[in-house]
Amino acid sequence: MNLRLSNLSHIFSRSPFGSWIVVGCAFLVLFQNCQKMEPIPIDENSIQGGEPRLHETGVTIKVANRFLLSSIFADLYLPDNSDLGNCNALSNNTDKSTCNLIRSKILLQAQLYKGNCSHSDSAELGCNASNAEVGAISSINLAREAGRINFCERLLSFDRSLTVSLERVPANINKFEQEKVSALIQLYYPEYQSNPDIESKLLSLADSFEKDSDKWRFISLALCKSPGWQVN
Amino acid sequence: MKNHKSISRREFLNWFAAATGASVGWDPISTIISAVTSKYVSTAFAEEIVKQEVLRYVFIQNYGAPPRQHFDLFLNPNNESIVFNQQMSNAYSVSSGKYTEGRYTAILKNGYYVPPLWGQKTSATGRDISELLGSMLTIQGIYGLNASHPFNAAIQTQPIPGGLSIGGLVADHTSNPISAVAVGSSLAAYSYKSFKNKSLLQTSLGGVNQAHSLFEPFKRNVAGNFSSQIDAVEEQVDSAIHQLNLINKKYSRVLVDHMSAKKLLKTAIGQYFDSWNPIYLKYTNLVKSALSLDANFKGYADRPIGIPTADRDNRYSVATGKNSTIDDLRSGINPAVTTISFLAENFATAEFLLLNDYTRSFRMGTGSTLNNVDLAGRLTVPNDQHFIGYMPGILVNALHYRAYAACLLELIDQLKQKIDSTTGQSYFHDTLIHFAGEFNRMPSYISHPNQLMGTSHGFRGSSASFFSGRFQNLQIVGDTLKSDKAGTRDVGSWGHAAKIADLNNEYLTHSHLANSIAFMLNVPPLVTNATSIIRKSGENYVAAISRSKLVDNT
Repeated sequence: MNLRLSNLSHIFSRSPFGSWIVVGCAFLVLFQNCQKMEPIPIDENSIQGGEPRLHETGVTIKVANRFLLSSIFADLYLPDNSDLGNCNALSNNTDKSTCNLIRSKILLQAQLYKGNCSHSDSAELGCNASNAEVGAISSINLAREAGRINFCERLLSFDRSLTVSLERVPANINKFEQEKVSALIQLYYPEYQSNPDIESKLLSLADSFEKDSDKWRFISLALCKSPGWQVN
Repeated sequence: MKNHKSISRREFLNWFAAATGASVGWDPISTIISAVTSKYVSTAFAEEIVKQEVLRYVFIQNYGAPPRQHFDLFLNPNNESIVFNQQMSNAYSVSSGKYTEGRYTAILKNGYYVPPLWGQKTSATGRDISELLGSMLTIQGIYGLNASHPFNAAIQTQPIPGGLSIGGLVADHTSNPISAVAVGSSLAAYSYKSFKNKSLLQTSLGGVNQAHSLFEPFKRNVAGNFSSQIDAVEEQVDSAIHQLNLINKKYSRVLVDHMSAKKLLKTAIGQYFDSWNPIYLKYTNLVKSALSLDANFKGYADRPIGIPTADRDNRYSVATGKNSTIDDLRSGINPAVTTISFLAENFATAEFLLLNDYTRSFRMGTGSTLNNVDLAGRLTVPNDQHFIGYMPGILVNALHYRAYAACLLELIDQLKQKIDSTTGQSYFHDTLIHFAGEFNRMPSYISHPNQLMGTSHGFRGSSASFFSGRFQNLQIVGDTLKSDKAGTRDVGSWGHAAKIADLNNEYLTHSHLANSIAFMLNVPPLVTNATSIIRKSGENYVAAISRSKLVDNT
């Protein structure tokens, strides 16, 4: 939206209510001892340097660290009771691959996803002297998001991963059921309460895929890649 | 998309409420009040992003605050006749063919008396360090508030603790793919905050792991066939992600990073190593050459350093209660292994990111003066040199800054060679390199009467140096005291801040520093209680206060 302050007069002229706004503005400005409403330009040729006008500050956005992320992925894409510290114990070879993928690309990436270790944590869980100081809390950044996008694309290239996660719905990879999309969303967004607008748009997008498995894969890929579910 | 002229009043006010952080609810009066009382902060902010051309910002922080009188603390810029504290020595004196004592001295370069290191080359066959002076400005005599390392590290770029930082503001005002980057040691001490929640990409790993840690995630590693399938449905996936982001409005905060990361995955940054590694090797060689002792390093390495070990006192201190027992201090430096951790990789990453326009906000940190030395009792010389006597101090600090000078000259050369096609100017013209520690150092016994040797935190006299294509010659501003006192005793000059006539006889503070940096970078000032002491002269920057001088301590 390309909105400018010069549009104010146009907006106000369309409604009598706008006059009240103009009067209100004028009154408030006078009340504030005639403070300027325009941004104060930086005086480039004086030592004054302009007056500061940034009194608000941003906040750091905290997101799930490697322990929480890997735990969520293991819950969604590996059989029950899988142990990320012992992927070889899994009987299915694709599960082993998925397990190793979660382990190598999430759990052991302390620099990327943060999450430090306690003294009792073992090397199998990616704990060693070098990552003890990376910090427990993770904040959003580009490398982390790139790593997560890459991870999701690899994860969902396995049919088996998709099948396991759909069992949590429960749903069948070869039978797309619209009414189960809400439950799939809740796997990533537990607080989600069915929203017809969101679901109808997702279904409409999924409609462009012929195979039922691809419809599920498409929605799962969007869910996995979507950044919101990792926000604390 | 709607034409903006047809926007409804409600849409406008809701938008305005959102822009000013007010309630999104329909409450026109409170919305107007909020809008007016916020003085159109956010609107102004948005307009500036479009209008301003923000310089690249490179902040080099020597965390631990090594002594600067060897390099960019100019204790006697006008060559006045004064007494120096011997702990502030930056050169050796000769006796019987050896370097056996320390002294403060200066040579004339670019109109100022500067430390003798500026008369040296970066290595035996290297470049004149003084080449840097032609595009340098130093602000010294900055009056600080307390002796804390982390606090003073933060206020170099964040004048209000917890508030916006300069690196964050540059990120806010630029649209490069990576909003801000921080590399090297002691990142915990670096304060970064952006108004628009622009994220900071950072790593504290060294060597090649620095690059792996930063850039490996951008290497796309999904199987080729599936990759092309994903690319084919990219728009649909993005649309779906935008829908999912509507689940909770707080999720919108992370969508920008997600989309930027997705774009970067399609660039060559994932193939970084072929580009980054040669740059890293180049800087590694520059550092190695600078740390090599050669007979051409006159005044530092052309004679044996040290009196007989049996006669030594704490002038040779290398640790608490321990003096170096090496006959010739030069032999404590081993060119094969002595280095400065993080230095080469930090500069390599800076060059890689800046020249490829990946970012305009870059911070690097190093935490040691020299690594892998053997001074008999000291294997790493820290930046925080409480117990380093001036005899080893002169050598190790000269080498430290010689290596920095070599890296700075190379980075600046690269920036000079690259031309911005839209402005026709070199990248260096639109870059500000900020070189600082937390504070300068003063003789320890000023604050600790029983500690007779070494230096402590000289927070009453900080300094910062800047390099940019917008400086046409060396400028040094900020007044310092001719002599400080330990109790009632005059102890000579170390750089304690003096009040400045051009500032209504007030001290120069970190607020002046922050607003001066903001002015030069072309971002809004950060604090209200100080003015910029830099002004424009055409396209260049010049000091708005008089050149640095020494002031009587009355």
